[in-house]
Amino acid sequence: MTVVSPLEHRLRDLRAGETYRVCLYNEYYLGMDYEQNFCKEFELISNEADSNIAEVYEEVVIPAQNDDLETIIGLLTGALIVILSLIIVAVLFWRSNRYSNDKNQTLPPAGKVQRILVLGLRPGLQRRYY
Amino acid sequence: MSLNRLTKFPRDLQPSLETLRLSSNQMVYLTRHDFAGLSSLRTLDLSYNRLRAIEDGSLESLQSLQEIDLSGNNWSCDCYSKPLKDFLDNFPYHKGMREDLVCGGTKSSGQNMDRLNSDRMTCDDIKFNITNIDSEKATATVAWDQPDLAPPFVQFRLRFSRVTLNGKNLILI
Repeated sequence: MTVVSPLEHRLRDLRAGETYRVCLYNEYYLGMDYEQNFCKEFELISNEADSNIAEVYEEVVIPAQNDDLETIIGLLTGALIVILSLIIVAVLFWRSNRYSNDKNQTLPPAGKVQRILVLGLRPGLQRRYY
Repeated sequence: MSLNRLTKFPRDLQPSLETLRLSSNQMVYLTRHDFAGLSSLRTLDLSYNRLRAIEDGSLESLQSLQEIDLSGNNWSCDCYSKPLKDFLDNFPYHKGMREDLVCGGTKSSGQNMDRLNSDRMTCDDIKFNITNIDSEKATATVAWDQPDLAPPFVQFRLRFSRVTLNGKNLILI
């Protein structure tokens, strides 16, 4: 369309989410770099499109990251519990083994025990037998 | 009709006119409409005016032209006087006149138009803005002020096209 100065032309019936190109020129400019020098593009932002993008992020991106994190934390906690359990079992097993070994090696016969107890009393104390 | 203060080309001239002398007037721009019907004109003297540009296609309509004097003017030497240079390069009717064509605008001031490269006779970018982009009303406004140096015969055009369809790029032919 031909325009006169000063120009203020309203573009109507645009569609949201689409990009448009506006070129202002005259026939004397056509030999020059037309698209670069005399054209501008603009996008009509769509609110509806924005909300869709937000939903996609909520549904796909963010939950996926949370799931991964929870899985890792769960695995680490489980592994830690298993390791601690094994350590506790190993320690208990080791201690019980050691105790039973000491018991076998150091306990004297029943008669000797009585004597040792008697010998072990301090001087001046009365002897007691049970 | 020389030595007057004519700011516009005279109207209603006889089609049989063979010589027209309009030297030392105050004309700035000439249009195709000014030369319409002067099919017998052989000699045209437009020297010592304030001419900046002549509309593209004007001199081509003078079918009998043999001699034209364009000395002592103020040629813009931008895109608007490029058609004149191209015409005179092909049809040297001005050769041998009193003075060469000298640039008087902001571009190439004082230079001889004959020695200028035609590709360098360009104009500045047209500056315009896209404002009031309203997604609810589905409208936008193109706002623009015509450059001061643009001749009155120039018709500016606005071309508007959609680049995307459903968010995907369209191929514009």
